[in-house]
Amino acid sequence: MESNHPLTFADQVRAMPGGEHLDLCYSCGTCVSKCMIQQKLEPEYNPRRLLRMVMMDMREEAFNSPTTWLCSACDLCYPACPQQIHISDVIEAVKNLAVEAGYSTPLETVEVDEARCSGCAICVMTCPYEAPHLIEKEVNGVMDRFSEVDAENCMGCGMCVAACPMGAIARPGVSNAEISSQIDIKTQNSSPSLVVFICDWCLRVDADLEILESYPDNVRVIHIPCSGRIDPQMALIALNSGIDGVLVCGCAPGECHYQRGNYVSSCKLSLLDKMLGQMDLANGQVRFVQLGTQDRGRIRHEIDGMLVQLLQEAS
Amino acid sequence: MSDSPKKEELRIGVYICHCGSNIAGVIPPAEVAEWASHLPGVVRATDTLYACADSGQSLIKEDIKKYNLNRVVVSACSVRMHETTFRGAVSEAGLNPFLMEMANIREQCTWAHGHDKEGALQKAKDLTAAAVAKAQFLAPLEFITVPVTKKAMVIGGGVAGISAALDLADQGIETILVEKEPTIGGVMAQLNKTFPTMDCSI
Amino acid sequence: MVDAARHPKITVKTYTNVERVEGYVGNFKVQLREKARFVRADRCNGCGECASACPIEVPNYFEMNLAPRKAAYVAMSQSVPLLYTIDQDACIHCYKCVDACGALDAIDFSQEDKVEWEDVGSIVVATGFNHFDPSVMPEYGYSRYPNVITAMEMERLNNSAGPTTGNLMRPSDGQNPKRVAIINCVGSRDKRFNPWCSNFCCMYAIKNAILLKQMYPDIELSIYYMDIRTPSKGYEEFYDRAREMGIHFIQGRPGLITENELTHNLFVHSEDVSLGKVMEREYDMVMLNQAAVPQPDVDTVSSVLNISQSPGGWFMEYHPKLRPVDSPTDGIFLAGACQGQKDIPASVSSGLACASRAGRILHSDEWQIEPIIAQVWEDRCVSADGKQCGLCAKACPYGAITVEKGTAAQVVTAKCHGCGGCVAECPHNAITQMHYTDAQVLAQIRALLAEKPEEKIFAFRCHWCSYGGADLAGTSHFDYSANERGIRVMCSARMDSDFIYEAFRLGAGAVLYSGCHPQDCHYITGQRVGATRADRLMRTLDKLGMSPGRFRIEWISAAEGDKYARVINEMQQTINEIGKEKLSQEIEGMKAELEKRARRMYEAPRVTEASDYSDEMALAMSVLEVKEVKDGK
Repeated sequence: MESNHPLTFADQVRAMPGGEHLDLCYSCGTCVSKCMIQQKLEPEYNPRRLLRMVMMDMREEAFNSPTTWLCSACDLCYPACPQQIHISDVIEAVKNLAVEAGYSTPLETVEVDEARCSGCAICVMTCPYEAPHLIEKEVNGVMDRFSEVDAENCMGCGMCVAACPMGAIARPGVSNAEISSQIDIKTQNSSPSLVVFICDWCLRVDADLEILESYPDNVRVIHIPCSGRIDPQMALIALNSGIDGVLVCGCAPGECHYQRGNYVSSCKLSLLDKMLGQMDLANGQVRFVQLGTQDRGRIRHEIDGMLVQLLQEAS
Repeated sequence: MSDSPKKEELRIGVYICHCGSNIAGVIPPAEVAEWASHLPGVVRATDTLYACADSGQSLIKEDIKKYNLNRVVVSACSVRMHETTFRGAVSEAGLNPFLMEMANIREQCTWAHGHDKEGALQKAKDLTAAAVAKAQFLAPLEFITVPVTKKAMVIGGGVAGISAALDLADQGIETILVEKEPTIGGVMAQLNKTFPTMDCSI
Repeated sequence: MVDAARHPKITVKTYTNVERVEGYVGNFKVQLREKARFVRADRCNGCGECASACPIEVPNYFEMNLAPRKAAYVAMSQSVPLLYTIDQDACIHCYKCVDACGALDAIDFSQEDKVEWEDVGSIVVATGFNHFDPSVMPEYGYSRYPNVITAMEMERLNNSAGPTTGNLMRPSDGQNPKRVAIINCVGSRDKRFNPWCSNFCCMYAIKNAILLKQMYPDIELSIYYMDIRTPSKGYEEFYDRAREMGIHFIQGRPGLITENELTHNLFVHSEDVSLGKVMEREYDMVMLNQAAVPQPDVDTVSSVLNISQSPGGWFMEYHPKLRPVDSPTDGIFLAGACQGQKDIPASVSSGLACASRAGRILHSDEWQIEPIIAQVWEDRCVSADGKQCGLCAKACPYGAITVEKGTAAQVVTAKCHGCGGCVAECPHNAITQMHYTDAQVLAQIRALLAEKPEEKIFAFRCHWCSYGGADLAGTSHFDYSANERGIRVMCSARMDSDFIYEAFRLGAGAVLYSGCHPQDCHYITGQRVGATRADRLMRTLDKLGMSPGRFRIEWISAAEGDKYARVINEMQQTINEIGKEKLSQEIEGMKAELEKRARRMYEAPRVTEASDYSDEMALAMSVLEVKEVKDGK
C-alpha cells in the first residue's frame, strides 16, 4: 500500500533495520544506567532520550544529540532492556539518516599517513566498524593503494593503530609516541616497577579510579581508549627500559566498548607471553586481566597481586 | 434410528445486529438484511440496533409469534458472547432453543476487516447465508438433565481458596478444602501486615 | 484460616494432592492422595516434643529457607491444622521422636499414603502463584551479594513471627540496615522473563517501606520504579502517605548493582529518569520485588483438571470480562492468582465469586447440560451385522462408546462430552453429532463457497481454541484477509476428511484445519484424533497433486489472536502466489478423486437434501449478486 504522505522522521527510523521496535520503549532508563558513555565521556549522552526524540519526531535535536554519534554499539544495554529493543540499531539508523542529511561526527577519529601506508589492508580487517577501506589513486604517475577512513564510522578505539605494521595510522592523543613517552618510571627503591595500561571503559565506578591514583610512583598508569589499542611492542619497550612488569586491563568478555578489542588484545598478549617464554624470559611479566561491570574494587587485587608476584620473582 | 423427518415448511427469521457502530460502522446491516430476505426459507429479515438488548430480544420474540417463525438466525457477535442470551429469548417465545443459529459478523468480520469494507460486507452476507443454511437442518433438542452431588471441592488453601470454602460452607454446602502443604494459609500466611490498611495477615 | 478449620461444613485435607479428576458438572469424581505424615492426626496435640527431640535440621520453606526446621515439624506455630509432620526426605529414623512423644503414642512410622475418591458436584481451583527467582538476573547479584534479598525474604525478616522475631538484620553481618533500596518490577514487565505487570508489587513495595519506616524512623528508604500503579480504592492515598513519610521514590529501572566486597554495602546504578542523569547510590540492603509467576506444577494441574492455560501459564477463564471465574469446563471455577496475578482483595473477591458460581449448581437438584452428544443410527452400524469395527470406541476420549459384535455401538449419554471424534471416524456414517450433523456442516460449507470459491480461505475451527483465537484476533483488531470463511465445530476431532474433500471439490482456494494445542484439548485427546487425521489428509492431498500451503494444519489457542490473523494472511499470500488459474486447474485435475472421496458423506441421512437445498441457495445468492451488479452496487 503506497502512501502519498512523506514519511515522518520517526517513520523513517522505524523503517530501518532495528527501528521497528522503537515504539516499545517505555523510558525505564535501564539502558542509560548500563551505558558508560554519560559517565565517562559526555554528560549529555542519553539513549533513552534519543529514542524519545525520535518518537516525538524531533529530527534536528536527534541529529545534534551527542548520543547519535557516540554510541559504539557495545550492546551492554540490549540484553538488559526489558522491552528487548536493540537500541544500538535504532541509534545507528538515526546516525545513517544524519549522515545522509550532511551531519558529521564530532569524535576524534584516526588519520592515515599516506606516505607510510602500504595498502596491506590489515586495518580493514581489524576494525569492528568497517571504517577503513582501500582506495586506489595515482601518485607520481603510478597507481597505488591506500587505506582511507570514514570519519562517520570510526569510533576512535585505536585497534587499527596498534595493528598497522607500518605505523601509518595515528589517533590524536594516543599515538605510539604519546603512549611510549609515558613509560618512564625511574626505579629508585627496591619495590618492583609496574606499568598498568588501562582501558578507558573497564572501570565503571569513580571509586576504582581513585584506587589507581593511590599507588606510588613505581606504578605508572597509562590510560588507553581500548585494550585493543595495545601493541605488544609497547610491552617490550617497557620491559626493555628496565620495568619489571606490564599489566593490561580490558573489559570482561562480551563487555568490550568497541565490540572485540578485548578479544584482540587477549590474543596478542597471550602470544607475547609465549614468545617471552621461548626467549627464556620469565613468564608472567606481562599479564592481561578482564574487569567486568560488577567487579567493583577488583583492580586493587590485580595490581597488588602483580606487585607481590614481581617481588617474589625478584628475590 | 435414522431420522426421516416430515418436511415442515421452513419459516426463518434473520436478525442483523448493528451493535451500535461496532458492526454498522463497517457494513450497512440493513443491506445485509434486505439481501438475506431473498434467501430460500427466509420469511422475515431485518436489522436491529442491539439484538442483545431488551428491545432486540423483544423484537425476536414478537416476530416468532407474528410470523410464526420456526428457525431464528442472529447475525451479531461471537457465540461465546451471546449464544445463551438468544437461546433464552427464543425459548421464551416457545421455540426450542436449538433452533436458533448465530453468525459471528462482529469479532470475525467487522472487527477483523475494518480495512476492507467491501470484503467485510461480502463476508457478513456469506456468514449469514451459512447460518441460514444450517438453520434449515437444525433439529429441536432437549437439554440433558443430570443429578448434582451437593458437595464442593476447593483445591488450594490460600486466601482465595479459604474464602471460597468458607462461603460455600456458609451456604450449607459440604466442602472439602485440599492443600498440598502441611498447613493451609498459602502465601498470605507468610506475609506480615497487608496493604492498604495494615491489617495482620493471619 | 482457623475459621475454615472449625467450620462444621468444611473438611480440611492438608498434605494432600489431587491426582485424577473424572466426570462432568454435578458429578465429578476426584482421586486424592493424602501423603503419609507418620503422625496420627487423632492423637497429635501439637505439643512439639517430637521436634525438640529431632536431631535433624533442614531449611524451612515457610521462612523462605532463612531459618531451619526439624525433620519432625510444623511449618509455623500457627499452622492449621496444628499437626506435626515427619519429613521422610530428611528423617534418619533414629526414632527419638517416638520416645519424646511417649504415652501420647502419636507417631506411627507404618503410615502409608492414603488414596481415596471423593464425589463432588463442583470444583474450585485456587492453586495460587509462585515467586520469580531473581538469581537468573546476574545484574542484581541476588544469591551472590548477601545483602540483596527478595521481597518474601524481607517479609519474613520484618515479621515478628519470623526467624529474627521482626528484627530486620543484614544477612552479611546481622546489623540493622540504615539505608534500604527496594527495586520494583524484578522479572515483571520484562520481555526477557515475564511480560506482564505483576499487579500488586507497587503497593507491596510501599507497604514494606511504610512498615520499615514505622519500625525504624531513621531509616533511609528508596523505591526504584518504572511506573507506580495504584488503581484500587485507598491505594493512591496509601502512596501519598509513603511520600509524606519521606520515602524516596526514584523513577528509573536500575541496570546494575555492585558491591563493596569489604563492607558488603551495595551500590545501585540507575538513571534518575526525571533528571536524565546516571546515579550510583549506596545502600546497606536491597530488596528485589519479584514478579508473580504461575506455580511450577501448573502443567500437571491443568492436565489433571483438563483446563487450558493462557500464555505464560495462568489458567484460562471462559471469558475475560463476562465470566472471569469460570473455567472453560462447566462446573470448574478459578479462584485467586492461579488465573492471573492478583492482590489479596482481588483474590478474596474471586474466591467469593467462585462460591456463588458453584452455589448456583450445588443448590440445584439437577443440572442441564447441552445435548450436543453423539447418536448411533443402529441400522447403519456394521457392528450390528456382526462385523469387526469399533473405530468409534477407539476415537472416544471418555470411553463413552461400547461396541459388541452383533449389536450396534452404544453411546453412554452421561459419559459423552460431544467432541464428535467418533462421528468423523466412523467409515459408514453410522454416528451423528447433535447440532453438528453432516447435513448441517455440508449446508454451511456449500453456502460459504457458493461464490468465487477459489478466492476463499476456508477455516475449520474448534469451539474452544481456534474459534476463540479468531474471536481474539477481531477483539484485538488484528486485520486479516476478508476472504476467510470459517465454520465452527466442537473439536478438531469432528473435522471429517469428507468436509475437507468437499471444500476442495467445491473449489476452495485454501483450507485451514485448526484446533487446540495438543495439551490444551478440551476433550482430553480429541485433538490427537484430529491431528492424526489431518496429517493423513495432508499426505493424500499432496499425492493428489495439491500445491503445498493450500491445506494447512495449525494449532491455535484462544489466546493466540495474533497467530490466527497471521496464519490467514500467510494463506492469502500463498493463494495469491499460486494464482487463480492454477488454483482452479489443480481442482479440475483432482475432481474425480475428490468426488469419489467426498461421495461417502452423501450417503449420510439428509445430506442429499442439504445438497439440494444448497443448490437452491447458491442459485438465490447468484441471482442476488447479479441484481446488485445491475443496481450499480
